[in-house]
Amino acid sequence: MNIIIDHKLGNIFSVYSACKYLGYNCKISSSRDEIKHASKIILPGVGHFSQGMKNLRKLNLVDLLNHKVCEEKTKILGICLGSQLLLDFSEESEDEKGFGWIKGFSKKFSANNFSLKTHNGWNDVNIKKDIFKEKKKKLKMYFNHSYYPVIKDKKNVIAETDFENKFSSIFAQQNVFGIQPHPEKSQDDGLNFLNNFLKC
Amino acid sequence: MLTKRIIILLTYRDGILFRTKKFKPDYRYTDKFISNKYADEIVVLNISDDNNKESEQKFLDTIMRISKNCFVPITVGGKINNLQQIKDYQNSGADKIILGSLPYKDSSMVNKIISKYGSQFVTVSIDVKKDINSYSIYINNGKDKINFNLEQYIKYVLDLNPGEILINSIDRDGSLSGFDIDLCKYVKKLTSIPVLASGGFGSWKHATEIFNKTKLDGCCTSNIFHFTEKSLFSLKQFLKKEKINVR
Repeated sequence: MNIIIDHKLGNIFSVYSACKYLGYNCKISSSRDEIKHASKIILPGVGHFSQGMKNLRKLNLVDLLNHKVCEEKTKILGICLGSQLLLDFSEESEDEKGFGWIKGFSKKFSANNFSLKTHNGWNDVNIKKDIFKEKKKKLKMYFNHSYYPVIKDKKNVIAETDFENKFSSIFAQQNVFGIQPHPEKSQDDGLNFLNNFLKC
Repeated sequence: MLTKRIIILLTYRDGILFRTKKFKPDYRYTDKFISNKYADEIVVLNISDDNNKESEQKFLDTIMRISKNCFVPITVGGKINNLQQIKDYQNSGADKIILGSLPYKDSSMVNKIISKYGSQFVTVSIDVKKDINSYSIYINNGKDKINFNLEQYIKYVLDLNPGEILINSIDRDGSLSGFDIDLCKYVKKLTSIPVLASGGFGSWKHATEIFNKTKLDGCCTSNIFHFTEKSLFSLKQFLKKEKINVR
């Protein structure tokens, strides 16, 4: 069973609806037992980095996820905040570190006189490394974030997007996949990406 | 490059979709005509008068019905004033929220929401009415005027750190006469976060006008796309020909 982690922070139902629509069996869950037996894991998330980690800790899922991902090599997809949690740390959070499965961190878009800069809307996702053997090299996806992933090792960068500067919008290493935009909310290009992950 | 957004704004009263004119209801439409494939975002607003459980449940059912087959972002709002409500909306398929009266009434709750979900999760909508030489701000679905001028209120809102601002012209609502370009320009000058326009979208040319004459990031329509399923597709084709960067 594909498990969508329910850490009470994010548009979890939207992710579920998209997987359902694509015809996959999946379940929203925070149960250790169910996650133990997950065939694939999706880690969604909209919110504060430290809140995300705290919620996972409260649910007693941090060690279990470490075991699933590092020992059992279960495939995991982090979306938006979920993708940033796969990295070492975030400038957004002083107290909580990330899982550190992929080397990198998340950085704030430069602030200005009035307010935070947010990257909100549809932008190009330029594929640099073809992990799913897709013909399309330029995807259009929906972004909504104020921090962006900085990936240490270039070989883990799958796609890049331009906003302020170029940043890694999709990254992966072995069984760990992260995507900064919302594939569940990016129409055909997003659904196609999600489908590729669920069938790989 | 970040594209300009065309946003469909749907207003619901007790679970029934209807459009408005100068914020007065005009029941004639249902949401079955909406093709969401070409929309860049959908905003769903609860404008029921009642604040009871039954009405709230009907609204939750509506969000769920829309979201099950909608793969573009859904922003939900109307009467949001606590964290539990936001959780309920997310569980029904909301991706983001939009706040109208809350920033004025309870700024500490807005701070709580933003520290939990982040700035990008929150759009603040500002309802504006034109006086002779200035603009007034209204809350409670256009009912109550507040004691702020437009510039003061924008600064007040920006201090709360929302992800974007939706500027809604009450005078143009349902008029189909085009967006208030001066108003939009003025607001965009005061901030660098994304600004969306609402009120007045009546023809394809109004979209070209707003994107050519202002630096706005998106515009909303609640009327013209109710008429046919192909509307949005044609609009996008039209805008591409006019060299506007759309999806």
